[in-house]
Amino acid sequence: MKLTTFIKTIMAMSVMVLFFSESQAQCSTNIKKKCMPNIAPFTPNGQANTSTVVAGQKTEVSQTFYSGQDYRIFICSDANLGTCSFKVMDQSRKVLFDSQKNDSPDFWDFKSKSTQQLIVEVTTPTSQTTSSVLPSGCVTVLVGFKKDK
Amino acid sequence: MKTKNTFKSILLLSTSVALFSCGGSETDSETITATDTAVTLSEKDSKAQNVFYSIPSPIETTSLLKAAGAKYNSQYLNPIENVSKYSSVKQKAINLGIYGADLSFTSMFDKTQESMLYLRCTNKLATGLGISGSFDEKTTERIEANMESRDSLLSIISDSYWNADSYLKENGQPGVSALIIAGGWIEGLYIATKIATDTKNEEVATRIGEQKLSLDNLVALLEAYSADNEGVKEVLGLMTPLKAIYDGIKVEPSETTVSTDKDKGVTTIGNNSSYKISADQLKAISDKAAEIRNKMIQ
Repeated sequence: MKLTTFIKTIMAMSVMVLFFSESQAQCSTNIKKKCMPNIAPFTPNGQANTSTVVAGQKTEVSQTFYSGQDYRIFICSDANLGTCSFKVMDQSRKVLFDSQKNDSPDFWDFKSKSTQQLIVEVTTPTSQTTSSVLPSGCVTVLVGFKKDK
Repeated sequence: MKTKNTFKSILLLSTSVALFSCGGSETDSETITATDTAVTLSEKDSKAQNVFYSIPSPIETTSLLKAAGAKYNSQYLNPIENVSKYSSVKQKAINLGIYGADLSFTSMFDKTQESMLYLRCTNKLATGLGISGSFDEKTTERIEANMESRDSLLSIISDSYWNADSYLKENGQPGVSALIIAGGWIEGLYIATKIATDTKNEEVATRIGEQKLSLDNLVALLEAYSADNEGVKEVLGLMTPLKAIYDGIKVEPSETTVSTDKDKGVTTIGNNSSYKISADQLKAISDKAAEIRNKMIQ
């Protein structure tokens, strides 16, 4: 009985390790194809804030946003993770935008009146599965800017 | 007997998979993710986090400088002749960032010839670092085809930054990516301080003060990789005295407000914090930025 459990655990771990090796390498390529066009007409900031996550995990990006600029924050994730939610917070973690309270869009556009540090927190939905293998996939936070007109 | 064979097969498979995943394509971020995953599997309710410190690109910095009334001056840039001096991975990465910032600067001011020269420098360094799909021949062709459209040009450069960043992270070199980012950031700051000093432009000086926030993120980014990368550790050492100067700029915290113009569908966020700096602070930052940048381009 113990041996069977041990074998199952090793099998699950093998599948997970193999999956993550493959999926991480494909993350950026897939995200670029699928998501980059959505940042237009904003200019992307050039950093790949991409990670492989499992259901229920959070990803956080801290960035400076300058006064007089328009910004787009775009959240891109694999479909099998479900609809990711995101919050934009100031440095004191006061929530300025919560996608769940705004019909769950995958992006948010805003004007930055002052120069400020903001935190973007992305949450993948908690899995309802009873399996020990949780859904996993790529999540990326794209930030684009353009001059305020 | 059958169970024993199955067990051996699985053990062999597991070992092979583990060895394969520990090969050349493994990245630091993958290691972190794998650890997070193990935790998540054993403790389903765990909320392990992946934290990124994002630095505005040199394109954004030069865009801000131009909007503030800055003028083009080729004397601010790293001479293209220097490119042949960079032989180590650290030098190539830092100066890829520096030349990338210079390329952003020349492109922002529509300096076509200079842009091509700086593109060649970035091409040479990116090739030297083994980065594919970034600042390469294809990029050069795209840039040549879009020379008349500044927006397209800046998008292509931004695209190259993204490709370089993702390539290095996917190939186990996030520290090298951090060096490129650090080089680009310091060059942007250096150019800004030269403009502010030469033209007494107060708006540019305030933009320099605002770099306090980005420097905090840059230091956090470098700290994340300094234990595994000697070059990152050295750059972190260079940035620490600059951070000490910036820490002397006191900014009163103020509440962030959000307002939405429903007719236009535009949301504006902001606070009343000011990053204006004194002449002494500007001089201290300028001197330190020049010292760091000049060490980097040697």
